[in-house]
Amino acid sequence: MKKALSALLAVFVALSAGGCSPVNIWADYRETEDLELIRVLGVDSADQSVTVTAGTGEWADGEESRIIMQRAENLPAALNCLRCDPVGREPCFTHTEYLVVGEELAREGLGGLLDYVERMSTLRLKTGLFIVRGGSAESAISACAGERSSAADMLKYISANVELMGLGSVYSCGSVAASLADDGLALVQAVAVGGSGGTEGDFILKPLGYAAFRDGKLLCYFEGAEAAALSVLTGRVKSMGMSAEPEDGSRAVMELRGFHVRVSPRWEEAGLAAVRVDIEAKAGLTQMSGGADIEAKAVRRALERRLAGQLEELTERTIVRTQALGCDFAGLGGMLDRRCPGKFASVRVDWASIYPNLDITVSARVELDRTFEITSTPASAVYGDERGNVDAVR
Amino acid sequence: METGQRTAAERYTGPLTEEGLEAIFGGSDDWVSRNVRTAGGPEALLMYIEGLCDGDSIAEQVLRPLTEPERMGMFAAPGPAEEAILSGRVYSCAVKRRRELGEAASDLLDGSCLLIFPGTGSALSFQVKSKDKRPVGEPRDEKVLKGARDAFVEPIRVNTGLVRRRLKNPDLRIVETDMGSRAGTKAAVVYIEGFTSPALVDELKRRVENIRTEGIITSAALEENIADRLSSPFPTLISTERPDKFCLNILEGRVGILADGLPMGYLAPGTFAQFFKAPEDSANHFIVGSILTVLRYLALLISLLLPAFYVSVATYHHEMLPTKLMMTIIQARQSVPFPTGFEALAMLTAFELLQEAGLRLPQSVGQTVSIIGALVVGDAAVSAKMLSPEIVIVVALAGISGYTMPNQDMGNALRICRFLLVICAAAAGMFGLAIGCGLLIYHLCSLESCGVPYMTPLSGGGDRLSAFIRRPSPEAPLAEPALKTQGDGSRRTENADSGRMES
Repeated sequence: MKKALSALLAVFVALSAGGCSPVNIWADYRETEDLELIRVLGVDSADQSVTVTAGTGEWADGEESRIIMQRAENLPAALNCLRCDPVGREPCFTHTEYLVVGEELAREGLGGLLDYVERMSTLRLKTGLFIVRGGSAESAISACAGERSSAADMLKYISANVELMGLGSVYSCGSVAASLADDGLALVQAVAVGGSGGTEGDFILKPLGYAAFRDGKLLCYFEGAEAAALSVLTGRVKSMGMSAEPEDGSRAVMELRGFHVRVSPRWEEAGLAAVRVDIEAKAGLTQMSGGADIEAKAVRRALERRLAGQLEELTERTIVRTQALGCDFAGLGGMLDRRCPGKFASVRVDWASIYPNLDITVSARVELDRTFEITSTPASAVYGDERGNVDAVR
Repeated sequence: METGQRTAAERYTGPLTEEGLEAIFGGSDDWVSRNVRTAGGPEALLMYIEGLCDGDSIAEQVLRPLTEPERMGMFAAPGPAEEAILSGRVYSCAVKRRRELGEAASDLLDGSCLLIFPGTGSALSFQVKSKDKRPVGEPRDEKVLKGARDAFVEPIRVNTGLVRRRLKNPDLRIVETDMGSRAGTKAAVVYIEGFTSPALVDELKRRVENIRTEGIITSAALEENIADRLSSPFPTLISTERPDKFCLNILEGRVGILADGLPMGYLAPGTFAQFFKAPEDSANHFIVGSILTVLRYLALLISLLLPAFYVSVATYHHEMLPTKLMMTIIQARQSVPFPTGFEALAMLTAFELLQEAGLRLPQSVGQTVSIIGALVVGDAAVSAKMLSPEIVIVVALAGISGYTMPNQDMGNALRICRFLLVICAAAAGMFGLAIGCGLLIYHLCSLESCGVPYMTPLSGGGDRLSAFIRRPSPEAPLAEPALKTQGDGSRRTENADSGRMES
């Protein structure tokens, strides 16, 4: 008995020393039915105050997700105000999957918001972060609320597919905070309030590339091809569509995937003289129009060269823009650090000043590995001409 | 005559007399004492206890030869008649002369009849035990698909025969002793001389001999008198109704105990890992046997921790649940009036009640009760929003997992621990659960069975993996290192070889 009591005492001491006081343990007691799961949380700033918009989870019996809004002088106060919800359930932020920030707050700075997320155990660091371009979080969340849709569902769809479309990548609050703490730069997935959502395929929230932050404040946006190039350089793209014309009159639509980026620095006595960025990618033919014979080696090589050229051009253009901004959003410094940490240590401190003037060349190589060509016989010979006459075509 | 906590042979001292036996047994209605006249002339007194002796055997093997003139006609005096009977004139297979009152009383209780020639001061004891006993049948609780189909029965002699039939080893020792002063139950300590650790044998013999109770009528009486620590619900003796499992453990270096009247064999020492090994494991392919053992450990975790874990995450650590599951639980619990902890405890109690009802009632009715309880009442309780479906699933999963325990005693101990862990989790969430688990592990590590740490080999003292996997039979060391067997402990020791099992 004495041994058991001493073991119990030892466990209590160990837990207490680890920061688990009984008071804290029992303060966490909640019955699940008393909780209101907040799946998406929007934060806006206006007139020296903070507005939070919370989108709840929908229920299995058809109860729609609700939107709760509160305004207060700061974020913790606004979140506390959410507890005054008339439904009587306590908001639970432990399952908040997405944090949506309005453009105005983004311009003012994400520091305070991320600081709160870092400190509070209720919000998770892996919560996905979104910026609403040209709008407020409240407008984005409210626009999504419908009979069979919610902001959380739409953001979930975007998170799952944005890297497949080459339109950006969703960074978590934790990684954005870490990136800002590291070099003051961060990329955040941007969305815009688009269609009405009334027709099929018309999404209310649309992915719109990256919002670029410097020192915690919104600097600019990278969208379209630039966002795709940044995704390639940062290794956060799964596939990317690109079209090219191998021969006169024909047009091929390709899907690029399997990107591999390698940086090769050229060091001179004065330090880092130049950097060459080599990009390799695999391509698959998704659509071919015109009379080009894709099985012909010459046509394939021509197509590969054109794709590589396009990839080089848009990557160079994006790097030049980041150099003009004086911000290494592509993370080339990090890649160099990993490639040759010893030499890079000498320029690490001055990297921000070296990067804008650095001679950076891009070389791309694309290999067309899949044409999905079932047979070398033209499709019309297999499936027939317009009248369905196969023999006539042969 | 003395009384006290001793056997009949110890209690009744002094010379054997008719009056002495009458004084001991005379007040009982099943006591038979009648005069018999032999063919030669002398009168004798036949005494036995009805029910313990076989009447036909008495008539055919004792009375009939006594009345045949060609056998007993020439012996007119009691002394020569007694000598003639001892030399084989009466063809009972076992006859002994008794001169002590205690010995005679013990023989009568053991199913012998006594023939007393007045004035000789001795009695002839014929073994004519009643044959009305249950035949060796199939095991009821430890069934296997591949393997022997016989099980221990109540008479100890049949059980020792079952063991002897498998272990045809001249070194096999079956040492019998009497336990309990009033019931006088026989117990046998079974081991292999020269192989089993002498210290272990001596310890078990000492414990069996030191049993001082009124009688060993139930298995718990034996277990509680031999077990190391009574305060622990965890079994430290392996009980089995299968002679093959019993013999396999004897070959591994354990000591067996058989008790008259109990259709079970007991083995010591019993370690934690031993209770997760089913007889079927050694019958199956070693890979299948190993996977099933690992599955049983997984079932142990589910049975022990799942309800407590559910209570913990549903009340304190909501962030640990996946969002969709959390939403489902919230939805399901909307109208449930009870807190999650209470709901879990109530459901666990209901589960135990159903189980008890199913066990106590006849088999056909028991199944009906189970169906009504589990399906009808369970479904009605969920429909009436008195319980959430999640807790029904959690408790059912834990209960089903508990049934995978090959040893019912271990299963019962886990049931108690399951309740305690749910209380810990309801009190302080995951921290309470951690404290509960810590204390449970502490308790298990503090247990010993006949000097062997209970958590062997998990805590050391052997191949840890052997707790989870079964090595192929030719490669497996037969004896466990912790059992400190004599010889090199390898599978093919001389003794073990000669005592190889016959199935």
